[in-house]
Amino acid sequence: MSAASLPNIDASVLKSILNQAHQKTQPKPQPDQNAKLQADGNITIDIPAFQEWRFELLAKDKLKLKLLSGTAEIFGTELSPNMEYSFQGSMRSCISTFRGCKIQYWNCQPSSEYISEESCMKQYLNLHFALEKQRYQSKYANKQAKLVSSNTISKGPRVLIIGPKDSGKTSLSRILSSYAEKMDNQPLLINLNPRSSQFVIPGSLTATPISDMFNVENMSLGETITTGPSFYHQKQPIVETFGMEKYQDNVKLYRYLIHQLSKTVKTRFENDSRVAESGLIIDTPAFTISDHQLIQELINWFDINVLVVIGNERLLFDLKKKLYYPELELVKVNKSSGCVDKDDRFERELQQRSIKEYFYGIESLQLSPYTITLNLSDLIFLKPKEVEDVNMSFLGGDQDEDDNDTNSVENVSFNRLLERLKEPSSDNLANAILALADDSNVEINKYLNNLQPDETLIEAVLKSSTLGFCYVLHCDDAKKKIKLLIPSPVQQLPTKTLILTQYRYHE
Amino acid sequence: MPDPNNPTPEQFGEEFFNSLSALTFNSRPIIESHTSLAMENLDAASEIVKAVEKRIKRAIPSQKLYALYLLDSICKNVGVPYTHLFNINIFKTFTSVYSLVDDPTRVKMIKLFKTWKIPMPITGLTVFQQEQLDRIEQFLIKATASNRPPEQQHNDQQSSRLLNGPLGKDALIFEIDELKNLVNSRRIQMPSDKKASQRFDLLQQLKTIINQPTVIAPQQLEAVQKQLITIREDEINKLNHFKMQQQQQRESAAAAAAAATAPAPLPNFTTAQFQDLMKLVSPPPEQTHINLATSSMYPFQQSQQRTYGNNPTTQDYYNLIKAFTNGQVPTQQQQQYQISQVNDPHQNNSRPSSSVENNNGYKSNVSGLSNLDFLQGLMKKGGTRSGATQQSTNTRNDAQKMNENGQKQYEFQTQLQESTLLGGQQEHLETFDSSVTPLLNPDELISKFDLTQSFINNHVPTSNEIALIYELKPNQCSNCPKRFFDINESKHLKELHLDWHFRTNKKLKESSKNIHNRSWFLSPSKWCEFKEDEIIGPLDNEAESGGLEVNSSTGKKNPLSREELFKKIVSVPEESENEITCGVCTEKLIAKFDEDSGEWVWRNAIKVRGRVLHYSCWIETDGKDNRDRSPERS
Repeated sequence: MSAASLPNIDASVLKSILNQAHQKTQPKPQPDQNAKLQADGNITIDIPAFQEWRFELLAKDKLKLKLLSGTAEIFGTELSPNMEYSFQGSMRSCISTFRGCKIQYWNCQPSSEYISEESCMKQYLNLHFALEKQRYQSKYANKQAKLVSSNTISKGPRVLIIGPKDSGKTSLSRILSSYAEKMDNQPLLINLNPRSSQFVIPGSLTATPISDMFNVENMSLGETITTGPSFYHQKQPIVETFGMEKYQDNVKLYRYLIHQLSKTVKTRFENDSRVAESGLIIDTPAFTISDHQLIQELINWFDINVLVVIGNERLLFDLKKKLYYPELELVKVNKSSGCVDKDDRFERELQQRSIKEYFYGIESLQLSPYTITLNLSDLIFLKPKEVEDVNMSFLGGDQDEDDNDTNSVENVSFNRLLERLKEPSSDNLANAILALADDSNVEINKYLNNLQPDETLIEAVLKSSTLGFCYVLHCDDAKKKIKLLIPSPVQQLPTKTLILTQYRYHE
Repeated sequence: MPDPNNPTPEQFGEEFFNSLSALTFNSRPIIESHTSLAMENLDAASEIVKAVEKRIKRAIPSQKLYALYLLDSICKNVGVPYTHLFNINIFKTFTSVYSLVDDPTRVKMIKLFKTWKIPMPITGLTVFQQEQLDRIEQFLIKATASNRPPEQQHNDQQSSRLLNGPLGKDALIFEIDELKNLVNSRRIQMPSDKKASQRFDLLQQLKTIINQPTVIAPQQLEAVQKQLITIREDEINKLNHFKMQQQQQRESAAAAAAAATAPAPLPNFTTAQFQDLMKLVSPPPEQTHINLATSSMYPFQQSQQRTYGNNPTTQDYYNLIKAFTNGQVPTQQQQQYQISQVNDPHQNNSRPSSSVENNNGYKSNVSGLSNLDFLQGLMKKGGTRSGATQQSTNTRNDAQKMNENGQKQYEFQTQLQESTLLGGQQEHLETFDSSVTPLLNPDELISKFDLTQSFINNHVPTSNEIALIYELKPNQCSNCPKRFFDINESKHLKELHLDWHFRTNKKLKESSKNIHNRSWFLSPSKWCEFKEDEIIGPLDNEAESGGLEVNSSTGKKNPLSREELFKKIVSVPEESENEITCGVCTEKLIAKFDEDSGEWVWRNAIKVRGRVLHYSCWIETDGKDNRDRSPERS
C-alpha cells in the first residue's frame, strides 16, 4: 500500500466513526444506505460495531470479498485486510465486527444479504471470556503442580453445546474455539453430530485440536492433513465412523463410539498439557430432553463442566431437573436470528461437497486420489446395524442410578453394533462411501476364512479409529471385483475391513 | 510545542527523573505512582527509561535497589515497550548496581533476578530476553562463588572450586563423590525415581573412567566439569522440589482451610505487615473506584467485591491461586539460596495487582512525599477519563485505529452513563472500571470474567476486553490474519511464520506440478501422542536445538518432531572439538553428554561424507527423506 493512499483510509475510517456516532442520536439508517455501489461493480458496505452482515450464496455463485478497514470476523476467525476472500457454492454465512468495519465485495450479488443488529456476538464473546478465565486458572494450577512435580493436570473448560436443529451449535463451537486459539490455546473441537462434516466427511465423530485458525472459505473440509502445502496449518483429527445420518438409528453404537472417543481424549489430555489446559468444546446433534440420559453420559465421560444450551430456554430448564450436576455450570445463550433452517437439499449439497473435498481437495490445493481394484473375497464389509425405533428403551432396563453406565456401554453385544455384509455386491455397494477401519490388531485371515466369530473383529475395529475413506467406483458382480477410489497411493489397502456407511456419492 | 501542560517527552523525562529523587526508601506508593505514569505516557517511554536508568546510576548505593524495583515494576506491570528498552542495558544496569551494593542488598537483587526468570503468565515469556538473563546469571554465579556469606561457603565450595580451581582429575573425582552422595540420598528419599539410580550408576562409571591413568585432554576435562556443574544444579533443584513438595502439601492444606474461612489473611503476610502496606496504599474507599483485581487481592476489601462480584466463590478461588503463586515464589528462592527467611518487601510490590488507580487515589497516596508537585500536575493533566484511556491506547502504533478506538471509548462511556441511570451503581462500577484498565493488563481483565448467566447476558464487552482477541497482539501478519505480540520473542515467531508462508506459497504455486494426497488419519495411540507443534512448529521459546524450523507440513516432508531430532545423534570422536560448525547453516553444534549411551554426542546431527551437519539442515537441503504419514503395512 503506498503512502499516498493512507490519508484516504483515514478519511474513510473517520467517516465510519462519524456514522456510528450519528446513529446514537439519529434514527438508524437503512441497510441499503450503508451499501454503496461503485462504478466498477464493487459494492462497499459499512458494518457498524456489534452488528453483522449476513449473506447467502447459491450453488453456482462465487463471491469475492475484501476487508477495507476496521476488524471483522467470520464465526470467530478474523479476516485479514490484505487478503481477497472468495466464497463459492451454497452457503450461508455472516461477517461480524466488534469495532465496526468496511468491506467490499464483487463478482456476484448474494441471493440475499443484509446487516443485522441482532448479533449474538456479545454473548458469545462473554461466554468465551468466562471460559478463558477457567483456562487461565488451569494454567496457573498446572504451573503450581509443576513446581512440586505433581502429575495431576488441571483441565481447562469442558464445554458441551446443546440445542435444537439449526440453532447455531456448530457456529458457536467454531467461534469459541477460534477465540481460544487466538489467545494461544489449543482446544479440542469435538463433533458428535453425524450429519455435519467437521474436518471429515459426514457420518463421523471427530475430535480435533485447534492449533491454527480456520479456513473461512472452506468451512467443512480442506483443512485436514494432506501431504501437500496448505495456506493454513492443517488439522489432525481422530475419526470414528458412525456411518449413519441419525444417531437414533443405533444409539448403542453411537454411545459406544463416543465412549471410545472420550477415552482417547482423556489420554491425549494426559499427554498434552497444552491441549488439556485449553479444554474441549463439543458440538452435538439436536438432542432433546428425551436424550437426557445420553447427555448425562456425555457429561460423565468427558467430565463436562459447562453446559451451554443455545436458543431454547425450556430445554435448559428441563435439563436442570433431569441432570445430576454438582460441578456443572448450566448457561444459555441466544440463538442467532441469522440461523435459518437448513432444508434437506442444502444439507445434502454440503455433504456431497465435503466428500468431494476429501478426495479431490479444494481449489487452492487439488488432491489426486487413486483407484485400486480388489477381490471382493479379500475384504470384509461391516455395516452399522440399524435398530428400529428403540428410543432409548434399552437404557431403562439396565440403567443403574450410579455410574454403572460405563459398564453398560462396554458390555454390549458387538453384533448389535455392526454386522457383516454377507453378500457384498453392486446392489449394496454401488457409489457407497466406505470407511477404512483399523484391523491391525487382529489376524484378519481368520475372519476372512470364517474361522473366528465376527464379534471379536467388530470389537477390535470399534476400539480403534478410522484411517480414511474410500468410494466405490465400480463393483463387478460377475468377476467379484471392486474398484475403489482411495485418497493415497498404496499397493495394498492399509486394512481389509471396510465399514459401509449410509452415504452415497455421485461423481 | 513547549506547553507546560503538555510537556515534550524530553521535558517529561527530566521531570520524571527529578521526581525520582523522592525514591530514597522502599516506597510502594512512589513505585506504583511512577509505574502508572510510565503506563500512561508510553510516548515518552524511551525518556522514562533513560530517567530510570539514570536514577539507578546516580543514586547513592543504598538507594539504588529501590530504583531497580521501579524498573522491575514498570516492566512487569506495563510490559512492552519498557521491557524492550530496559532489556538493552539490563545487564549493565544490574551488574553495575550489584558490584556497588552491600551483601543484604545483593541478596535482594538475586531474589529480584529470580523473579525475572519466571515467565509472565500471559505471554509465557520472561520479562527480559533470555540471552540477557543468561548473561546476568553467569555474572551472578561468578560473583557469588567468589564472595559468599560464610554460611553458604560450604554449599558452593565445590562448584566454585570447579569454576575457578585448576583442572585436576582429583578435583573432579572429589566432585563426583559428592554428587554421588547427593544422588544417593535422593534415591533413598524418592525410590520411585529411576533416573536417580541411572545417574548414580553413570557417575560411578565416570569416576572409573577418570581414575584410569591415561591422560585426558584438558578440553574434555573441562567438558566433564561443565556437565558435573549442571548435574549438581539439577540435583539441588530436585532436592528443593522434594522439600517444596512437602511444604506445599502443608501449605495447600492451610490454603484449603483459608478458603473455607475466607476472608482470611493470606499466608506469608503478618497482619502487621499487611496493615502497614494498606495504610500507605488504600485511599478512603468512597473516593475510589477500586480496581477490582487489586481489591480482590486484599481480603478486608472483600465485602466491596462481594457486592459487586457475580460469583464470589470462583473469585475467591482465583484469588487464592493468585496469592498462592505470589507467596510461593520467594519460598522457592529461599530454599535455593538458603538465605534469610524474611520476606522481601519487594515481593509484595511486584504483585501484578499494582496498576492504575484513580486520580483521587494518587493524591491521597502521595501525601507526605516530597517533590510531588510534578506528579500532581500530571495527574490533573490526565484528569478526564477519556484522556487517560486515550493514552493507554497509545500503544497501538496505528494512529487511525487509535482514533477509532478513542471514539469507541467515548461511546462506551455514553452507553455506560445511560446504563447507570437504568442499571444502578454496580453495573456502573463494572463497566467503568474495565474501561480504564490499561490495554496491556490482560490478567486483570480476564480475572473479572465469571461464568454466570447474568454476565453472559448483560455484560457489554468493553473496548479493552475486545482488544484481548484483537489489539493485544498488534503485530498482524501481512499474509494472513494471524496476530503476534509486539515483543521481541514474538518477532522471532513472526519471522518463522513469514518464513513458513514463503515456503508454502512457493509450494502452492508449484503444487500443480506435484501430486498431493489426503493423508490417512492417525490411530488413537498415535493421535494421543501427536503434538500440534508438529504441524504449526514450535510456539514456545524452546527452539534452542536450532534447525527445528523444518516445520513445513509441506511437500513430501512431514515436520520433524523434537523427539526425532533428539534421537539423531552423532557421537563426538576422540580427537574432535566439542563445538563444531554445521556445514549448511554455519551455526554451532555443541556436544552434550548423553546419559543413555554414556557418551558425548551432538544431537540433531548427521554425519555425511565425513562432515557433521544438523540433521534438520540435511533434510532441508538433500530432501531425500521419504517419510510418509501413511501407516506402513503390507
